[in-house]
Amino acid sequence: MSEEKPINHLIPWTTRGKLLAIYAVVFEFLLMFVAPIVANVPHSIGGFPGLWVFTNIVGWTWIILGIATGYMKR
Amino acid sequence: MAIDVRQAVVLGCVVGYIALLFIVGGVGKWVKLKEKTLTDYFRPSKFAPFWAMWFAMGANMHTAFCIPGSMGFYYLHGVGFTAHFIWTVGTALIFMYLVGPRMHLISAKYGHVTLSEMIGDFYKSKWLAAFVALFVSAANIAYFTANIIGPATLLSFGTGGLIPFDIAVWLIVIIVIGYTLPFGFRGVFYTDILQGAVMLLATWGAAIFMLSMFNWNTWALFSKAYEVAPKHLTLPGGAGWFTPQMWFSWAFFAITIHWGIQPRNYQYYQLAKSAEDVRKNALWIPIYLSAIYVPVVILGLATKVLMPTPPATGAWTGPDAAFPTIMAQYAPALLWGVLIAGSMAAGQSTLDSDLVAHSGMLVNDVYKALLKREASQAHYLAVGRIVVLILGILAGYISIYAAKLPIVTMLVGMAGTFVMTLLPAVLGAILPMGRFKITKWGAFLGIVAGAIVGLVTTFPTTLGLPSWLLNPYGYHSALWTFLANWIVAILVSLVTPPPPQDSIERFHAFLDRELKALYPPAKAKA
Repeated sequence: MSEEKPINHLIPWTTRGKLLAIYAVVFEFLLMFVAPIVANVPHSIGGFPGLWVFTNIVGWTWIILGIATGYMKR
Repeated sequence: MAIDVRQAVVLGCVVGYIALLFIVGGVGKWVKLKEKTLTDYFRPSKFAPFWAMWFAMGANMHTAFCIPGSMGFYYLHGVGFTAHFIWTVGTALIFMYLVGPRMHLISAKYGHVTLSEMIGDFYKSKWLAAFVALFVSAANIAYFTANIIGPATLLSFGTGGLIPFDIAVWLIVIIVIGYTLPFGFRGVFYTDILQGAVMLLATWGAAIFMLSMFNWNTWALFSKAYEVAPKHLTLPGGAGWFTPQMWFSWAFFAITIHWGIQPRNYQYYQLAKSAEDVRKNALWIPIYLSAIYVPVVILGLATKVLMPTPPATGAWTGPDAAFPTIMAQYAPALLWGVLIAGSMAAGQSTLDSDLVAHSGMLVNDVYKALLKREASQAHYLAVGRIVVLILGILAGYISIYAAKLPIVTMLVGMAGTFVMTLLPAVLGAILPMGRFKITKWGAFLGIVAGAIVGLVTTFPTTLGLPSWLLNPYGYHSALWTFLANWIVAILVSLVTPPPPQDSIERFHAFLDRELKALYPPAKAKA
C-alpha cells in the first residue's frame, strides 16, 4: 500500500452499492426536507394526515427497495 | 395491603416476564461462557442466528423512549413524531450498513474487545482509547437512568403503588444485573430476543385495543383528533416545537448518527456469524425499528382524543402520564400487564447491553491498558464483573436520588450528541478517505470541540451564556455540535501527522481486500 495509490472508496463500489447510496441521498432528502412541506396538507389523504401518509410511504418504500437491492448479485 | 384482581393480573404479567427472562437468559449451556476471558464475556462472537439478531438488536436499539416515552411524545406533539423514519430507516441503511460489516471484519481479524480499543489501535494511542472509554461512559451513565426511570414509574403506577418507585428501580436494575453479571453479552443477547418480542406485542396489542374503542375506524380517530387538537395533525405540532429547522436537525443529527455507532452496537456487530449477516441485518432491521412506532400514532392521538388535557393531579401527572392513565382506566388487565412488562423490556434491553459494553471499555481500555497491564484473564474477568455491578448500582442510585441534579439532566440530554462526536474517529479508522486521513489529534480535538459546542448550545443559561445560544437560529444543538466536531477534526488532521502506515495497511488495505473479495466490483467481475 503506497501513498501514491490511496484507497479512496467509501463503500464497495458495486452496482448494488451505488444504488443503495442513491437511495440514501434521495429518500433521506425526501424525509428531511420535503416532508415538512407536505405537513401543510394536514387532513387530506384518505382521512389521514398528509405528513403521516407521506413519511410512511417514503420510509417503507426505502426499506423495500433497500432489501430488494441488497439481495442483488453485486 | 389488599390486592385487587387487576393488580394481581398486572403483577402476574410482570412476574411471568421476569421468569421468562431468566429462563431464556440465565438457564442452559448456550449462555455459559465458552472461555473465562474478557473477550468471551464482553464481546462473544460469531454465534448469533440471523433471525435472532433482528429481534435482539432491535430491542437493544429501542430504549425506554419506545414505551412509554413515544406515546407521551405523540400526545404532546402529534404526527411530527413520524420524523422517526429519518432515524429508524436512515440509521440502519446508511450508518449500520456502512460501519457494521467493517467493524465485524476488523474485530474478527485483530480481536478488539471494544469500540474504544479499535479506535486506539488504529490511531496507535492507548490514551485516546482510554479517553474515548471514559468520555462515552461519563456521557452515557446518566442516560442509563432514562431506561430505568420510565419503566419504574410505569411499574409503580401500574401496580397502584403496590411496588413503590424506589423498589421498582432496584427491581429493574437487579434483574438486569442478575443475567448480565454471570453471562456477560451472551446473557444480553438471549434476553434481548425475548424483550424484542414482548415490545412488539405490547405496542401492537395496545394499538389494536385502542382502535377497538373507535370501532376499528382509523378515519374516525383522525377526524376526532383533528377536532380536538388540529395542530397535532401537522407541523410544528401541538407544542410548536417541530419547525422545519428542528425537524431535520433534531431527527438526523441528534439521533440518526449516534444510534449507529453506540458502543453497544459494536458488541452486537460481532455476534453475527459473518460480515454478510451484519450487512443483511442492516437491510432488514428498519422493519423492526419502524414497525414498533407505527401503532404509536394510534396510541398517542387516541389518548389525546380521550384525554385532551394531561392529568394534573394523582400519582402521575403531565403529558407522559396521559397514555398510562387511559390504559389503566380502560385496558383489559392482561393487556395492561403486558404493556408494563413491555416497558420494562424496552428499558432493560438497552440497559443490559449498555452496562456490559461500557464496563468492557472501562476494564479493557482503562484498567487493563493503563493501570494493571500484567494480570490473568481470571483477574480481568472478575474486575469486569465488579464494574458491571458498580455501574448498575450507580445507575439505580442516580435514578432515585440524583435524577434531578443539573449535571445529570445535562448529561441525559447530551448523551446521544456526545456519542455522535466519535464519528470522525470511527470513520477515520474504518473508511478510507483517499489521501486525507483523520489523525489522532484530529479525532481527539474534534470530540472536545463537539462536546463544548454541544454544551454551549444546549445549556447556555446554565453556563452563564446568552440565551440565544440555545439551538441557534432554530436548529437543534446537535447540528452545531456536528459542524464543530467535523470542522475541527478536519482542520487539525490537515496539520498533524497522519496515522502510521502500519495502521493504514492493517485497517484500510485489509478492509479493501476483504470487501473486494466479498463484493467484487461490477467491472472486475465482468
